[in-house]
Amino acid sequence: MNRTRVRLQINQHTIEAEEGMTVLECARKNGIFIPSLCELEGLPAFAGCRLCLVEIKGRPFWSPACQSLVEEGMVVTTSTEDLEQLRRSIFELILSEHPYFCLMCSEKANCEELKAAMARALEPGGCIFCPKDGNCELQRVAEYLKIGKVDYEFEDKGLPLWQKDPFISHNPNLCILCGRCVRVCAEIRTESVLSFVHRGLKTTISTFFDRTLLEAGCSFCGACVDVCPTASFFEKGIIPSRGKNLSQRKFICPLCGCGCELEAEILKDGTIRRIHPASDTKPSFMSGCARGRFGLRELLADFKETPNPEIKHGETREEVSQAEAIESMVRTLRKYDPEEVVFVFTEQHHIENLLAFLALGQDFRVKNLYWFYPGEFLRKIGQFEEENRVRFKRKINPAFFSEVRSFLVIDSDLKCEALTFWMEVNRALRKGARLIVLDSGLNRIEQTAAVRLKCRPGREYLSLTALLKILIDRDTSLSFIPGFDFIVEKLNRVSCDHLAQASGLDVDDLKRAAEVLIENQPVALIFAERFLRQDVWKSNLQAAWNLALKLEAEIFPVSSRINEIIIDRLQSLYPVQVLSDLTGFEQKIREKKIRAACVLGEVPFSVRPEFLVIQNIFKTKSGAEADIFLPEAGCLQGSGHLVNVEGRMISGSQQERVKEDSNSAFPVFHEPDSKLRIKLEVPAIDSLGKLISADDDKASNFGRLQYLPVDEESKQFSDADQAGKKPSANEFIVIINQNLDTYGGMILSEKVPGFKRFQNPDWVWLNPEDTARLGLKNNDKVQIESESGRFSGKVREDYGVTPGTAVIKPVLSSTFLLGLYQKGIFKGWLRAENE
Amino acid sequence: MNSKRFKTLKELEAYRSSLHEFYDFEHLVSVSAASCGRASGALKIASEFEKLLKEYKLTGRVILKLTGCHGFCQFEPDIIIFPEKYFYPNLKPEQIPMIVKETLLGGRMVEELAFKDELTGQLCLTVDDLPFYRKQFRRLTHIHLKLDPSSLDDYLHDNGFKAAATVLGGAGPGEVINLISASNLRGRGGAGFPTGLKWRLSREVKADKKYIICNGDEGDPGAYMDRGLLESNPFSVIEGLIIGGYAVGAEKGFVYVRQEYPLAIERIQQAIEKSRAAGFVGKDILGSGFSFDLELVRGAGAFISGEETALVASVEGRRAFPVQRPPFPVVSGLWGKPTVINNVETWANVPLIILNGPVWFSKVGTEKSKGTKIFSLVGQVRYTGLVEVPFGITLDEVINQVGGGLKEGRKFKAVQTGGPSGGCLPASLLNLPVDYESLNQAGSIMGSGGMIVMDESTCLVDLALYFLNFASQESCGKCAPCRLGTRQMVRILKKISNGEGELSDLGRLEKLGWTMQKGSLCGLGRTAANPVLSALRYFRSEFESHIVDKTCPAMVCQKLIAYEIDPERCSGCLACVEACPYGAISQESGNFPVINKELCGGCGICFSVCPAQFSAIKKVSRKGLIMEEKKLEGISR
Repeated sequence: MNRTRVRLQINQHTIEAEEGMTVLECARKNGIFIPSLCELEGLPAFAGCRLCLVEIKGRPFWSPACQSLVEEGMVVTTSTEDLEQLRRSIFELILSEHPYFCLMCSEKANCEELKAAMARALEPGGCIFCPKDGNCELQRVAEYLKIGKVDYEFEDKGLPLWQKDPFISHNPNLCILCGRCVRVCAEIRTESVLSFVHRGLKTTISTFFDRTLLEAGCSFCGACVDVCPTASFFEKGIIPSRGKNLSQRKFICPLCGCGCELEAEILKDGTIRRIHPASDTKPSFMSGCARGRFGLRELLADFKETPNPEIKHGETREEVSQAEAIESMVRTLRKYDPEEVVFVFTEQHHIENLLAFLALGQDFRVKNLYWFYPGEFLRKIGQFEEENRVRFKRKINPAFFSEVRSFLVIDSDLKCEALTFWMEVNRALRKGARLIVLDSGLNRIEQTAAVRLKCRPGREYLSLTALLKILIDRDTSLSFIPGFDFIVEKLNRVSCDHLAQASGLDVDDLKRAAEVLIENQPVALIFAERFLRQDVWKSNLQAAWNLALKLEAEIFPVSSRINEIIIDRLQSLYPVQVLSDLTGFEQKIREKKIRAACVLGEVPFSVRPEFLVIQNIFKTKSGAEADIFLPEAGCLQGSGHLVNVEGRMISGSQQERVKEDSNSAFPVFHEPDSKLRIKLEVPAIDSLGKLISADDDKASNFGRLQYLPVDEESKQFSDADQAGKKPSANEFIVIINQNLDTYGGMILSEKVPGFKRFQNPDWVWLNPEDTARLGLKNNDKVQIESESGRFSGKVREDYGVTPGTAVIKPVLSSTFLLGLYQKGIFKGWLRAENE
Repeated sequence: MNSKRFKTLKELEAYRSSLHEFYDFEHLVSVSAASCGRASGALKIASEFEKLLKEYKLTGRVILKLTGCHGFCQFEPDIIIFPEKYFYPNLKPEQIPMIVKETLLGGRMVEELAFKDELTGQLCLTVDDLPFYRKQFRRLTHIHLKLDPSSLDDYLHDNGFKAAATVLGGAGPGEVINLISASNLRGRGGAGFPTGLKWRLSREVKADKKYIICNGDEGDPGAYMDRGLLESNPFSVIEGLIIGGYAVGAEKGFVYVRQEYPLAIERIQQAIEKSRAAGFVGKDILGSGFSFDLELVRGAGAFISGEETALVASVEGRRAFPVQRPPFPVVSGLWGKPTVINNVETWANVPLIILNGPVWFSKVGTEKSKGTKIFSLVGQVRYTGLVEVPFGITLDEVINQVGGGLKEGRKFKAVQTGGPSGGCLPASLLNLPVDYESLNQAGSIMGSGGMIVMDESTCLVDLALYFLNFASQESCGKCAPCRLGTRQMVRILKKISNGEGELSDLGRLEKLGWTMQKGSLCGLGRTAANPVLSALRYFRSEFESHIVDKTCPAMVCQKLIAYEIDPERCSGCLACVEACPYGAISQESGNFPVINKELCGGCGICFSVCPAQFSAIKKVSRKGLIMEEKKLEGISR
């Protein structure tokens, strides 16, 4: 969008600026410094610290630069004696309740050397214990204003520290009430956990009735820590920085499809001090979540020593060099017929590692190159594309969302599954776009929605067709699309009420949703894996397609696992097959059709072949039992590329390795080893970018329209619902949500203490109505019995779950769970498990 | 009782003229029964009347009405008997039979119950004789004397909704705004922004929705004008809102009243419902095609909610934080839509202007401030209550004529106007005309109309401390200068009050005041220092004597005073001995009690329990005592 430009004067310089810009932004862009504390780029203005007050000609009062928009002919003075005096006075007032020894201590110059010695205690107290010392915004402002003394008496708030929560602590005594945390929490992260409470002198930042963050529903994204200008919000147990003994390392978080660019601060001894969104991604508070910044920190901090290569000799295991291990592997593999060897890999690796692995497989002329891919999301989309001769875009530029006026999100908890997308969607929502959420399960973005459509699990396609029906009833244009007439004719025979009833929705809600979609165009239609993890996935996709056509909406499939998009495309270069169900595979092992396996990552086999090589970041249980274990360089140790949900190739740091002496921390197969006579042909990384978006130009909105037999089915459903016996009290429809809390086979909730309390794969989410009915409470042990087996877990009450349904988020660690996962929805009987 | 919905102007007028016959009565007994009246027992008086009216079979001939506040709150429960306008102050239930027999049956005033003017000693039989009422100019409030606030008929009978009907019946919105502009009506909430201009600005903004709000979040300590209006004549506020809504093009209005005003909430809620039932609020009002709905929003009683941007936030359901202006609410208010926010009193003025015309309205007042203003006159003045006076009246006239001067034997020291945002004006400024500009220039503000009169027993340091404490507790906490500035001011004032101040503290107070005035985000912060700054301006010597002499001239600041028993006056009742929480008063055998100055905590309980006829306990400056003690010590050595 081209904005009008205006000319204004700041400190007698004529400056050109874009309309809609604030005076502060404009001044900053032109190198004019105005001190500020509450303002932060990307956050809505607050105008509370009053340090950025400037003189604007013609205004009766001094105005805050952060909230004054530029105007044509405006005359601004940012610094006069009076203004500076006022700033000093206000800043002294701010310091009158924020400990300021670090600013005025006469020993400060000599302190640096002592710091390390004194920083034993982990809680911030004086300057030396303050985790923000040296990086504090108050220190910067003090320097600018040349504050030498504070004219006002210091008042210690004397409030207790918050230490009950995992990951994040809060020291209200350091808080200057700039409100950045409140704004980022409510407006950017849409959590609304933090708020101002009380008034006057007692004003402070807290949660609903001073509950712990955990109880208040915090997702521990850590944005409050990122935006805090002081050390009021800080990472729990953070070690004071001890001056400059710190190195920064940028890397990409591989835990979900977002691929957030993170930065680790590493102390000299190799300990990770903290992980935070990379400082050059702006605004940084829009990326990163608990998984990456707190989960990885503890997972990798445990991993100061990378595991060593190992070879199993009978019952004993021998630590060997990397070269020896590889040699042994190659020698053994060559003994087998290529037909008997399988190569299996998962996604969370640098592409370089993946390519080396694939190339090696090819070198062995292995036909069985498998991608362990229980979600099958892109495979299904590919199949649909082929059958219907349509094409979805793979590469997505989320900036496009800024032009979207309404979003229809189906079966996708964007906040958990694709944060990057959610941040962009929310940015559009804040500008007035509307959100409609169609979901049968648990969804954290519903609160923000204009209309929530909680349909029955598995009847999403009926709901979408009901929407289409309402739209068509209003206007039947689009008849130029082949097949459209047919659909209109067919849909004319179904009643809207019927469809709504069958999908378990209120007709009025559907009509409101349709209204929103009609009035707010263009529309974006977003869905993720869970939408296609159902028996009726084809109907779902077709219904979405039909609706999108009618609305002329763009469709965005969200692949919530890293590298999913590129691996899907690598099938054109390598004979990669998708491995989703392990039963057949295990059968082949038992029948000795598969005798050797080479695994990159963690795959939950229950039987193992004769010869097993595992390469992984961690030496998990299966790695420790393998015949040969090869360490892989993890996201932080190694460097390489990943492809995120947008289809964008991103690379971590190209900095030196953490442990230069250790070969083990680097991709094993990267260098062709002449001794082994292996010649790896790996395509250049740059060429892969084109591969991702290869067919995107063919993406088209005009595919084949197909009518779904909704009339008969909906009738069947509603008949069944009406006539059918009342389901027994403990019968539930169980929905399986995606669990993205694993890395290299390590489950965060098992390895990271805080995660156990905050996000546990054991939990069974139930509506409090149901728990009350069944006499259950939080943390009660329950079993869900189903046709294929039994799932045990703990009750977790949540109003976001529809009564009569249960939601689980298991880690796929067994063939049984894998089976359930692929079903997506199953019928189960819940009962309390006796101790 | 009206139960029909008026669909046209004609229907309304027909109904109005049919009302006259119901207002044919021998006597009307009007009981002042707003919150203040009820607190002093008005309901008991009313039920006693009801009982007796039945007993004497007067029902039908005599009408008993529970009205709003008559204004003379000090003498409540009071009644006025119409048509004679007999005024009975401070009634007790046992006096009612006499009134019924003498006045209602006999037509005579019971003179021993009549009001006696303390100044002249004259008996004042009727309302018009009372100096308190005589000197007022009651345009808005005169009807409060006999209007039943819960009765729509009563309001209709008094030409209620005539203004709205006139406007809806033919005048264009622009015409209405012109009328209001021509009247020079200015916002009664404190800042005095021209109402017509505000409406015009909002009218000119293009938006799909517009709102208007009636700001009834009255939070100044000692001020209750809005409560008085809402409790006494809620329909007039509603009528003002309807006219305003029509003029600016708003289809929805909100009445924001703080939860601490339960009766006002009940009255306005009832009035909204009745107006809706009668078709004054809702769709297609009086067949004009104009639709307007009203909603009551109850505030949780935060002082800051009275600030217009904070009010908007509060109505939206957010925390009442003020927002930087511009944009002003007239451009971007509720949910980002143009919103006109006016004070209760402003809205109540609107129907009067429409009915009587701008010329009538601006007949009284000064050049820039037209019309009348309601004040709550409280403090050490002889007569307290809600008073309505024209702009331009001097402070002296309000205090000495309407208020009857200071209480017996007391000397005027200062008058505080405008509540916590206002200032204290000394005797030398008593001739100051009361209008927006003059008060501003003198370092105070008009505010919403609080007026506290103080005598020599008030310490200005203590008063400033009181107001700053209020401001610091009620600061919303958003901006640094207000939240922290008020706190530092409180600390410094406490120090001074304790006799620990330094002269440099005065400079510090002034610097803080300047910081808050220049730096704060909203009006609350910008004016919060006014009580201190004005006190420093007019009563600096009092601060200095606290600091330099360590004495409190008004004998208020606890740490600077001590108590002594005057043996000449003491009767030896020993009330003080029992009451002293410090055990500092003892009686040696046969002697009068003595206060042990070392044990005395300066709480002043002995002072207040000493029976008034003896008044044996004196306040003395502690400084003198301390010096005496030192002297004694020297001698004994």
